[in-house]
Amino acid sequence: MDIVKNANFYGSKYYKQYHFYKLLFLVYFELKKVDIDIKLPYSWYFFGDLPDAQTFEYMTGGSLGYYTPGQGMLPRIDQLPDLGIEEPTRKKIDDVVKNEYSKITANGRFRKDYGDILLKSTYDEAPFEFQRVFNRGLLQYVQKFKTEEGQSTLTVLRFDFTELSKIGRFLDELMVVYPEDEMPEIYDLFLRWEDTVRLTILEDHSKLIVVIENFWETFCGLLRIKKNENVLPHVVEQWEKEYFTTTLPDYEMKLKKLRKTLLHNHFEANPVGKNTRDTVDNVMKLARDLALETQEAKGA
Amino acid sequence: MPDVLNYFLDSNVIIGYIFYQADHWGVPAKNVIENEHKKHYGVFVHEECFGVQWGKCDTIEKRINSEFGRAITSLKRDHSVDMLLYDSEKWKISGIIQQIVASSNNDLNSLESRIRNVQRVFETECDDRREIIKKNVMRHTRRLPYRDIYQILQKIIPDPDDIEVVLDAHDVGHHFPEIFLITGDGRHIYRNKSSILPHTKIKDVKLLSDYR
Repeated sequence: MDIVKNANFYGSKYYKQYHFYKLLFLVYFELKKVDIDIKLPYSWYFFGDLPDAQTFEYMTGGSLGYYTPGQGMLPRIDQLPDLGIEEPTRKKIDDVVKNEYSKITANGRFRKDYGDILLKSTYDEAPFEFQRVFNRGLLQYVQKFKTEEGQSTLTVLRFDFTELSKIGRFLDELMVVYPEDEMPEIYDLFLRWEDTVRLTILEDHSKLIVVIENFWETFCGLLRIKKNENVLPHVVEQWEKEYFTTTLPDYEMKLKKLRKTLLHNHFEANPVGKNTRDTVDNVMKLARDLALETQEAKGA
Repeated sequence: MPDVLNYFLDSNVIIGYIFYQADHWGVPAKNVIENEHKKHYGVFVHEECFGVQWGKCDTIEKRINSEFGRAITSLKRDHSVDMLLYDSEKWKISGIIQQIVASSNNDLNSLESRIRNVQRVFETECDDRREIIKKNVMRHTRRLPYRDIYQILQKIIPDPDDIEVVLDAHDVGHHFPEIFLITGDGRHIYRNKSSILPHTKIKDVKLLSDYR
């Protein structure tokens, strides 16, 4: 409520649900540093943190949507209710909230790029470097090639050499920082996706943005299961069930289909050379020997 | 002999086809799977090759593809051929990596490009052949346990998995007469065929090498 009260002071018209969520997280994070734990239920998701509405309601008895209705105006809160918080604690909270607002305002108004500031500050606290490189690097970079309507599959869309090199450098970095120890379940999928992006660069630029966005969504589906705090266990279990039975298999199938088309187009235009042929023959022999070896070992 | 024969395929025939190489195993596997005769396999062979958890074709293909991906990651992380060779020591594809390195003149871009290309061809060809198997080979689900035959076969065939394959072929023989069981393994089923045939609907057990 303290956050909303401050937001109203600056003008609710410019203050959206998205900004509230980022600020809520930043306040939570800063309060922890002064030993105040408000037990914000949140997970890492597509755009940084995302408070969990179900757990919030369970914990507070109130709806998260009351403070930030999806499209509507923020409620006006002029006077904070007396929640019995001791004065020193009250002051610490006020200071943290005001300090966070000071970072996104100037002369009593929201700064022009305050959304970006909030997102960047949130991502500074992200658990994985991979999130920063992907969301604040690659994703942010390719977003600017979308049309105003958000269309990302323009058939005429072509990236030039410099743009593709930049995308390539983001991919290089992502390969190095992928959190294999903590997200091993989709590591091979990530490797396959990375190569698929390289194939779209070679074969079909119109697919590039959507391929990047779709993987981010899939990655975040697992991320929220692994990186959340104070969320009710049954909510996380539900995410997990949905992810492994629907989200992940669906995505794997989509990627496989696209990859197959891209590979066929690629080899139609680039026939396999003798060197590669010889090496692939050796890979085939290796694979067959491994398969027959395990068969024999089992029979032995 | 009828014009169109019925073949029941052991898993080693499918493996030889998916991981095709033009040699003593791959050529006859290709001849069998791409010929005009009717081909069948049972659930047991299907699981052995393509089962979600332990299917040999899928797990080995995934493992090899994963190692190629790790090879690229190693190059991106360390920018070093020596580190790539060191990392690859624990991989199944270490010999392949050495071969690619030897033909790349230590040029990292060319090395990356060759590794990607080899992986892509391997994946594409395995996928294409998997599709052909889906199209050319009928999957058969056996409903009966054939306990009496199982007990007889138990005394002849030591490996229970082989007994399941024989029973699957026998079951197909009820629907498609004169079924030939084809295997790449000269031991086990083939060696005991004279004892197997009198108790089953299998017309004959043939070796894959007969189809060169």
